[in-house]
Amino acid sequence: MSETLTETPATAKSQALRPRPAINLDNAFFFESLNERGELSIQHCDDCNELRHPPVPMCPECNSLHWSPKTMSGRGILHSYVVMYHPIVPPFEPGYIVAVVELEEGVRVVMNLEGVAREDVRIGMPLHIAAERMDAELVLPVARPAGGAA
Amino acid sequence: MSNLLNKAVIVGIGATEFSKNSGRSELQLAQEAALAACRDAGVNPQDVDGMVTYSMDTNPAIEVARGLGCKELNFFSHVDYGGGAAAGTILHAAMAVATGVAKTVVCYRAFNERSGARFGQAMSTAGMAPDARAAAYAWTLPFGLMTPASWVGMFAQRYMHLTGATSEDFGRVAVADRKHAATNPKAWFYEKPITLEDHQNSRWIADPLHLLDCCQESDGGQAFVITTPERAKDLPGKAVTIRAAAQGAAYDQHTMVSYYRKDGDRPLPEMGNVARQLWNDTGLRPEDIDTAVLYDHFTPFVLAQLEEFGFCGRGEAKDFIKNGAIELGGRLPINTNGGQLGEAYIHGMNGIAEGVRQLRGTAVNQVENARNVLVTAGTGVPTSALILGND
Ligand SMILES: [Zn+2]
Repeated sequence: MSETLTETPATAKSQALRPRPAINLDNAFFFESLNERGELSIQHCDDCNELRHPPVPMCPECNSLHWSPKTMSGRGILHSYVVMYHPIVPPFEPGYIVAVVELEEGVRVVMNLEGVAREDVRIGMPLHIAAERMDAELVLPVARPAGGAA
Repeated sequence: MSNLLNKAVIVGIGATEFSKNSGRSELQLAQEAALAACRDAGVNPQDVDGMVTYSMDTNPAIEVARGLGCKELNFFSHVDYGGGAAAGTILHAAMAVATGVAKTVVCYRAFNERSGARFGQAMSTAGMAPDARAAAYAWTLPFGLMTPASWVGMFAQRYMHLTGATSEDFGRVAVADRKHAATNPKAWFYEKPITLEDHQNSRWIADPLHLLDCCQESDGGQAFVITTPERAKDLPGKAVTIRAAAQGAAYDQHTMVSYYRKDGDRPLPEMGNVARQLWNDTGLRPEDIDTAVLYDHFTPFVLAQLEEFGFCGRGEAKDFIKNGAIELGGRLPINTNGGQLGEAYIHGMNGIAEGVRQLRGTAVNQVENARNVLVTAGTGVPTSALILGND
């Protein structure tokens, strides 16, 4: 995945910021990886190599408490999606798409799907995931059709 | 297998009116509903010795008990996971009376969910301490996945992809509910049935969900009195047997957003867990159920529930519900009060009351000779359900 952050231009339309994630000891690595390195990282068990998301302190497979963030490739497919119309809270605008993306490493992550018209969205379509800066504090993964115009 | 079989009864039901603006406090609604349930049962409210409600209810048991004048409480329980806990309250009360921990338990739920804090609005964790509950929302809110409709829409889209179900199939649930509400004077949508065309033409909320796939936001309170069959014999209220009740969570369970399970393609394994317990405990089969109240905050999960309970095979609910099968007179009439789409959204509790009325023979849309009624609680969350019966 790209280490260069794409700037999403702030529109004059809305100064509102996206909801902040509630950060604690269990999930901070995910947002720090995005913010500091532009990387999508998933919790990885040091003992059994299991990937797990959303993060949880103990490995469900082997009960190990030892884990580290693992950087994902940025490739995945669309598992499901929803197109939002009501209620719309700024800075979101009607018709935005939220997706569950299945990464090629096997875990699923919720993120926005952009760069594709509603009628062209297909479950199973290949996606490219990159870190994108939403505002001064927040970097999130964003999915776009693989191989399409970025 | 539990040994709770037929060891507790619902002997009283009581509710406030269901509205969009009750004009009184949630605590007053809770006390009104609880008192009405006591009067229906013929129980002196001062003798109530147990209280059960569930998370998201703002009314402390001791405040409800103060109003009722309860002399002492020996049991109080606050069941987790919102609407998923509705039948769980009856389970906890049944366990308490069956074990002798308490004698007479009131289960209640009351809120101003339309005129006060509305559940359909965007969720926010702003100002909350970043504990595990708040942190779980970090995986949805920043991406604009902020409402119950959006959380369910994500499941629904996948379900359609896997089963071939369409928006019209979801619409058939709404049409059935509204048909039943149309003849229920207590329903918000009394005398207001809809057609499948109305459903299809209603605006998008969270595509694939239309407005008419979504339950109402309502004000109101609903309560029950639970006791033992022996004690109920001395009470004037017509007792209905709690044949079995169960709670259930499943593997890799989340609240409304269990999108991460490795099999990925089964929307409600937690309800499957509950179903297995109820069938095992009672020895009943789907064909023994005369009518059901299936939790319908959003229509798609009604289809998934029919499959988890084995009324039809996986992915076959779209065929099962065709030709009026879930309407009065059909193979399995559901939500005969109008459900939460048609009567009111009282977080699943008004559905339990409808189950009691069906077995008492006092429902407005009565199913003839109903002997076994299934009632389920909130879907997408850790959940619960029960089977009520006549002995
Ligand atoms: Zn492990």
